[in-house]
Amino acid sequence: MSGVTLSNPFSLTKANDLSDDQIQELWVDIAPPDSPDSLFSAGRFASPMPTFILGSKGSGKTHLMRYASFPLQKKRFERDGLRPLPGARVDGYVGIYTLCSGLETGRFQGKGQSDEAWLEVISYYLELSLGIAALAVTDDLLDGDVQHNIETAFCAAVGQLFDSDPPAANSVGGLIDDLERRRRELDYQVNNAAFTGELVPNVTASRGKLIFGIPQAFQSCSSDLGGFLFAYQLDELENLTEAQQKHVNTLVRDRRGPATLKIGARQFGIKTHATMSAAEENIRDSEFEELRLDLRFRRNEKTYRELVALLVERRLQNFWPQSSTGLAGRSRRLADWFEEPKRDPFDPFFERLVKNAPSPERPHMVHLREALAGQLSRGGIRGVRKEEDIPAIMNAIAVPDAPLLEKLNTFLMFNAWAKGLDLAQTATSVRSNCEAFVRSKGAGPYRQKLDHYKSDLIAQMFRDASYRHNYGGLDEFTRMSEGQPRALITLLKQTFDWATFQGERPFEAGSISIDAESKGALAAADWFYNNMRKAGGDGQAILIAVDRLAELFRINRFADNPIECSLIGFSVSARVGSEISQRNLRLALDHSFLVEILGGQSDRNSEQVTGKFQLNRMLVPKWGLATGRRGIKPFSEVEMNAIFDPRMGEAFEKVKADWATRMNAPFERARRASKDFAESDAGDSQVDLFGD
Amino acid sequence: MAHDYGLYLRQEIFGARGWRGTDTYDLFLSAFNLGERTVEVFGRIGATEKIWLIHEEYGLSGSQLPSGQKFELACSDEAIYCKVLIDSLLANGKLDAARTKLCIDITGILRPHLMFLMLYLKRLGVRVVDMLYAEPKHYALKEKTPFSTGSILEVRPVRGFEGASSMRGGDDFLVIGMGYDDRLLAAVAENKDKAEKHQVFGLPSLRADMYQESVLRSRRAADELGDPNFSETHRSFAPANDPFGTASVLGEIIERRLARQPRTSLMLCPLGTKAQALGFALYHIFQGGALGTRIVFPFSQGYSPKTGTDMARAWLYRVEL
Amino acid sequence: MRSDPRHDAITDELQSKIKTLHSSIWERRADWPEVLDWLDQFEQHDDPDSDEQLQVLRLLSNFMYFGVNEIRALLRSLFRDTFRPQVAKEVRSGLHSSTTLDMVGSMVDVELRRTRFVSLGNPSESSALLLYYFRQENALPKDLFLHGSDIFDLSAVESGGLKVRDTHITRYVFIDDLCGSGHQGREYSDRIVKPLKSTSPGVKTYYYPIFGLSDGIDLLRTQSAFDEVYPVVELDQTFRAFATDSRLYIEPKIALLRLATEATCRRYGDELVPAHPLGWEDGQLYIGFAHNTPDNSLPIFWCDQTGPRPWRPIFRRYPKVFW
Repeated sequence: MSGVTLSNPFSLTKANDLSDDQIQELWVDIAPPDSPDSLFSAGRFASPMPTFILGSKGSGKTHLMRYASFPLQKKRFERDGLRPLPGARVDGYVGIYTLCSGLETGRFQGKGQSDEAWLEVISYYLELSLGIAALAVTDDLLDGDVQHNIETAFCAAVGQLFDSDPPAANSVGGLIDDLERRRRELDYQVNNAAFTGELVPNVTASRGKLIFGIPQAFQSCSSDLGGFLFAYQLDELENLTEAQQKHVNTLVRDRRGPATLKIGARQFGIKTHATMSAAEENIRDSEFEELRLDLRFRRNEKTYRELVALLVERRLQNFWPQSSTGLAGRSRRLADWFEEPKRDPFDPFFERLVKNAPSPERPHMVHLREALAGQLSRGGIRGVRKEEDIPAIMNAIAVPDAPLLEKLNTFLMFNAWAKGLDLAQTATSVRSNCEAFVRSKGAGPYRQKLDHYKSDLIAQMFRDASYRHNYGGLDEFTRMSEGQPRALITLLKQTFDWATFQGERPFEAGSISIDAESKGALAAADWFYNNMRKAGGDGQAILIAVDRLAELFRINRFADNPIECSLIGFSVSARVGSEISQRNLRLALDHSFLVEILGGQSDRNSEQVTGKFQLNRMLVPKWGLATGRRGIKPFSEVEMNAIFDPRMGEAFEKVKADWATRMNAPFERARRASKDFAESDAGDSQVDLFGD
Repeated sequence: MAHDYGLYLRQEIFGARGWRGTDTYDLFLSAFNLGERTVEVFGRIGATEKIWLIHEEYGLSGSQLPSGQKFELACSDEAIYCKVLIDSLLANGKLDAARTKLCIDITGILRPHLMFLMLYLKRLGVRVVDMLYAEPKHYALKEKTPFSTGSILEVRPVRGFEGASSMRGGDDFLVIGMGYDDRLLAAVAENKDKAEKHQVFGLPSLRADMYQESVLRSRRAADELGDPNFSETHRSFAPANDPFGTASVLGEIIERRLARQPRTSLMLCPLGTKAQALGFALYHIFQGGALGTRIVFPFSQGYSPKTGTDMARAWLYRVEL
Repeated sequence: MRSDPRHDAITDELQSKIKTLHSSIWERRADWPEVLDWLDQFEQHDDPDSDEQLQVLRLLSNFMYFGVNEIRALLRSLFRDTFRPQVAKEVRSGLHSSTTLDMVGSMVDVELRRTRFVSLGNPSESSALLLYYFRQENALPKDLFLHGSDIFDLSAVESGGLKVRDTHITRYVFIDDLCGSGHQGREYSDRIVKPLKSTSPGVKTYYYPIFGLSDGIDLLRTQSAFDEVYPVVELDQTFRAFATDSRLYIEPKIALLRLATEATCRRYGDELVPAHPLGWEDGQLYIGFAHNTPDNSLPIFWCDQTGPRPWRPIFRRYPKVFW
């Protein structure tokens, strides 16, 4: 590797922190580059139609674009023994990467100048900047003997592209110097305008002349120079204002010759597809294509898991050689390096969780017993009319050796209570189902209930024991990262840091402890959450909404009779919610605090959003929520507004109270609630692609 | 090529030994906020004309404003604000570039305005300005003190300090004067994602524990900074209360970088104390500008009008342009 | 450590802070197993406020550590931002305002060649190490550095009268790491500086401790012969851990813990350093450097197994490896 020693193999989390070498070495793809399934192909760098590559921070967008850019192409050409020109023909393109923030477009405003004047400036600035970048690439492409004949002709052709004051250079180097001089002059004038209040730039090339003209001029110099595209890669377009984006859209629309644009942006960072001319707007699949990186992974769980494994392996290979010489050596599966949370109901851990107390003293038993006793004074329930009825029920459902199953049994009792069934009879059937399961461990309704509710049950038991909820295991981390490679790397980085801080030897000996994993998960959740602080007022609204959502989900998680299992998602139909609520929902999506549940319809172009959403699972450790989504709760207009409108604090308190009474003994409103326990299993419960 | 900032005068005018005598001035400017430091200094300094500068970013209501001469200009950026201020002073004769004995208290002035002011005065031919800076005893909530408020509007170059981003081209290099506000830090670091970042911490810090606190805060943005290990090579130190030392350190950092990589696009961002921000401006004026350096800043909607408590020390810096 | 919701909330916060410090300023000292080992020497309690381990953990999370890089930075600053500008000021005050900066620069260089930097105390003490760093950081020639005993020409004693070895020297700069009460500095002033100034009245003397407690600095300013006394980092009363205006206990909820924590530290301190249970001359400091932890800091931090009661320190007094 490039002589880098890291104390944490996951510490460089962003593509832009990686050197070109590292970009090349850490690139993992799910298929060979020429396969249509590969990520690389998805970028469509060799296709003439402009592409918008959309993805949130951490979706791998920048890594992809840089991987595709010319400096990296050159490395690969060298590796494969190709000269640049033939190499470009094999790839079908040359990638000219520019970061929008490098243009410093924040300069092009105010200072007493009109908007039109600034648009002229930015147009010229783009021409010069992209022109220089394109020329630099041509310099590399023209090597050895090709150069002599072609160079002078090429420079002359480029000179012709100018509207005025053409450059006199006859070498590409000279041309670049000339253009850089013009750009410096522009920089100077723009800067000076703050003092003089005047700005009269000498625009010598109008929109598109250089950007599209240079590739054209290049390839028309000789037939040897054809066979590939000049793909301008403009990254982070969200940094441009709407007006500036319109300018870029106009370039997209006016695209011509052997050139194309590949534009990277945050999902909701594209403010408009309108162009400078009033009537014309670019249409997807007509003027441009769109690649949504996040969705790629979230749609295909298996692919993402493979990618994750490759990613981690590659990082360990490059940055953590110890992992191959550690005690267990490379024959270890990747997942073995991570301690897994306990899920097996017969694991002795659960007895420790209840502090080895005998059944009657365990918190969940005490809670049920007291709830039943309390109800007696209010007239009792079916099957429980007098005090002596209670012990029989409690004995029936006790499972001394498997507290988790016992807990499930209490759950089933509460559920029956909520539905108004006879509890004595329920207790008997629960007992027989439970015994059958203990004997055979086979599939069936009891097993199904266990699987569905396990996460919530365990969370409740942890809380009763005052244990902090834990998160761990590569699978769980993979799910939590929501198809964003960077989120996963961040999770691993934080976990690794905690593990070493606490004296463990991650990826060297033993497994990373659950404790370190949980602390890492919480640190990563905090990092994600705190990102919102930068956004000021909008950020506040998102945080409030997310906090409220989480509160409601927690009520469900820790309830006697949850309405849904492992609840972290909700659905809301098209016209529901005030303008403010809908706006904040969109914002939360834009910043990835919420993610769309695939299969729901969402129409980004329209004003309203419809469909199914869930909390981004990176955040769930903050509130001890589940990482495997199962149930989805439909929200009413009242609930929607109470959550997403920051001003509706009082309304929200009412919703909370409503949820709490419905889901907890004595289930005041349960029988009037719309969802039946049995129905919700089959009906609205979304099968989780990333399920437990 | 290195400029000798060590020869400039810096003088403690208030400290454990009380107030020292200061010169009398023709014109004194200071930005008003709710901290006691600015008010006390305003009272102490002797000047023929004293003018309060009002920043709308502090969100002060009418009743909170001080009495006496004031200058304010709503909805203006730093260039327009300062230009109007200085041009009007020139017009009404209160400021004469060649003759006026000018003193400015930088304690409450917003950084972009402070820097633009320096540059504009230099362009007008002002040769000497006395700048004052008052240090707080401590910040109200140690490392949890909020400084900027509201949305971060944008990260952009400070007017006048836009440099020539293309002058050297090639790799981006961002030198950040580290402060307490990790929100602003994260915004800049994220906006300049691709740049290699060099952190300049305030050490000696204003008070002994502030260095540690600023490091703690900055670690929250470790990811954005691309500095997972608190690496030595990406870290320098400059005195928190000395603009001249700060300018000197910047010079060294840039020189080292250019020696390694002549084609570097240079950027600076002063998020530390006002004294340091002044140092950044001076570096740019004397050396950085010629190298095409630009100074970027995360413009925030508002700033807290009161962050520090009473005054521990006050300094005078004689800037010779 | 005790684990329950109330304790955990505090432990989590402090552990997180210490983890950040450990991986940044503390040069990877005090990882969690070491911290636990240290905490083990204190008692737990059901009430988090009375839990000694939580009390001292909080103290630890505020410990101010200055590593090698930081010390070097302070030494650089001392010369670049304090001493040299001071010389420049003295030089310029006698000049006409038309003198160009270049000329001033040359004159300052001349003055600097007539300056000597002197280490206090004996050569095995930290002052000598600091001068070494100081020389390196500021790229100063070796011949500008002296030991205290080289100031005077002792061969002249027999013929009566004290003589300075080099009469061309106009400035003597004394550098120290920590000025506590100032007593040591005053003693030095009496022994060396007063005789020096009586022999060569035109000579100027400067005393620069890297860290100086306000009281000690004030003492030296009023009761010593040094012309200029200036600490690079000043520590006033508020830096004493349990002072009524202590920086550590400003937040109202935490302020309640001050007296209890003091009692805890005193209890252990009485056994560790009976004469100075809260640090030398009741320093109550929570500060340490790469090259040592001063004894003005609370003994619970630095005492080791050689004291009256064997102890496991968390920031040892003289670390075995420090650069």
